[in-house]
Amino acid sequence: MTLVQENYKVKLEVFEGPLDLLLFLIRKNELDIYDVPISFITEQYIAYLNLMHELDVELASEFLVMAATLLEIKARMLIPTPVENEEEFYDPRLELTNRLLEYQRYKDAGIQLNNRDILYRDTFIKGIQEEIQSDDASLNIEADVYDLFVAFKAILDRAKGGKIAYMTVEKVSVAQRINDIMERISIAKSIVFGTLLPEDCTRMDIVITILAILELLRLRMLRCEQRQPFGEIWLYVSE
Amino acid sequence: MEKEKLIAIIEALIFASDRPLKIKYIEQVLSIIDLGEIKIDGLVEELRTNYSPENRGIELVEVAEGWQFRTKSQLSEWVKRLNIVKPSKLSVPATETLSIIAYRQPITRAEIDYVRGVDSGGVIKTLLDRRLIKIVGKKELPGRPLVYGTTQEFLEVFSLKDISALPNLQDLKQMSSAEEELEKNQTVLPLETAGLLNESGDEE
Repeated sequence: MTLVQENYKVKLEVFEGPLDLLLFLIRKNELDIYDVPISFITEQYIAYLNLMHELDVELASEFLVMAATLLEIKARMLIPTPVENEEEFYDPRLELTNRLLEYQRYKDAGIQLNNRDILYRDTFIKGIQEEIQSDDASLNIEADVYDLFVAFKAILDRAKGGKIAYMTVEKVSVAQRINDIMERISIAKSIVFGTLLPEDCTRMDIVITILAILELLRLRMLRCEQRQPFGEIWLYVSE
Repeated sequence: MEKEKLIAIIEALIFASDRPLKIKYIEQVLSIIDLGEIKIDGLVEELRTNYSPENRGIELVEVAEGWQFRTKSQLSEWVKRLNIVKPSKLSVPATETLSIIAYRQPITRAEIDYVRGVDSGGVIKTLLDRRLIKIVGKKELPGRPLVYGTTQEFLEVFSLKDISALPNLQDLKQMSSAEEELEKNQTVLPLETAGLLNESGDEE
C-alpha cells in the first residue's frame, strides 16, 4: 500500500479526469487496453481515490461516477450470464474500452496540435503589437467576481509562504475594514487590489478584506476594473 | 508581362495584406492583364521557394486558405526577444478539447464532456474567449443544444492550410483497426467461453 502511494504522489495533479487516470493506470501497469483486468484496475482506481481523500484533495464528482461504473462492470462480469444465444454475448467492458480509446486518440491529437508551428510561439507575422502600456480607459475590462477570487487566491498563496508565528488575533470587523478601504481610496481615487494587503497579512485579514470589497461593490460604492486580461484589478470610487 | 514582374506583384500583395491572402484575390487584382498560360498557383509556389534559403528569415506559408509571410520557426527565440505580446499558452485540457472540437465539429458540449469524461464548460469558455472556436449553430435535439466549431483564427494560430490539413493521425487509423479488433473480439469471446465450458465439462 505504501508503495502504491509513493508511486501516485508524483503524478497527483496531472489527471484531468477519470479517463485520464484510467489510461495512466493501464499504462503504468502495462495492461492491454483491449482486455483490462477490471477487478485489478478497479482496486487501483479506488486506491487512488482513497489517497486523494486522505490528502484532502477535492475530486470532481466525475471521478466517483467512474468508480461506480467500474464497480458495476466488475459486478456484471462476476454474474454468470446465461448464454442463450452465443451471438449476443456482450462484454460489459466494451463501452469503457471504446471511451478510453477515443479519449486517448484526442489526447494524442491535442499533442500533435501543440507540436505545430503556433502563431506567436514559433512563428510571427508582421506588425505585432508592442506591449500595451496605455491608460486609455477604453481598454479597461470589467472584472467579474471570478477575477476577484483569482486575485484573492494569489494573495492567499503569497501569504502562505511566510513564517509561522502564533499570536493573538487582533479582530478587525468588516465594517472597520470598509472604512479603511474607503479612507485609502478617497485619497488616491483608485487603488490596486493587490496593494490593499501587506505581504505578511493573516488569513483573517484577507477574508475580511475580500468581504469588505464585495460589500462595497454590492453597495455600488466602488467599481472594479481590469485593464488587461489577468492584469491587476483596480478599484475605483463610484461617482 | 514577364513572370519575374508578376512574382514581384504577388509578393507585394501578400506583404500588404493583413490576413492570409487568398489566391482568388490575387487573381482579381491581376484580372486586368492577360496571363495567358501562366498559373497564379505556380507563381506563388516559385515565390515560396525564393524564401527557402538559409539567409531568409521569413517564409511564405499557406494558412487559413490563403498565403502569408511568417517568420521561420527556428528563429522564434530571437523574435521573442523583441518583447512582443505573447498570448498565454493553451493548457493541456484546452488543447485536448480543441482537438476534439476540430476533429468532431460541429459538436455539442455534452458530446465533448462525454469524450473527456469531465465537465468542459470552463475550457470551452476559454477557447471561445481566445476566438479559437465559435458557436456554429444549434442541434436539432431536445433543448436545442449549441454546437461548436473551429474558427479562421484557429487555422491561423495552428498554421493550418484548411481544416482538412489537420494531421490524419496514425491513431485514427489505429482506432479503426482497433474497432475492428474489438468487433472481432466480440465474436471471438463467445467461442472462448464456450471452450471454457467444454473444458470444465471434460474435467468432470
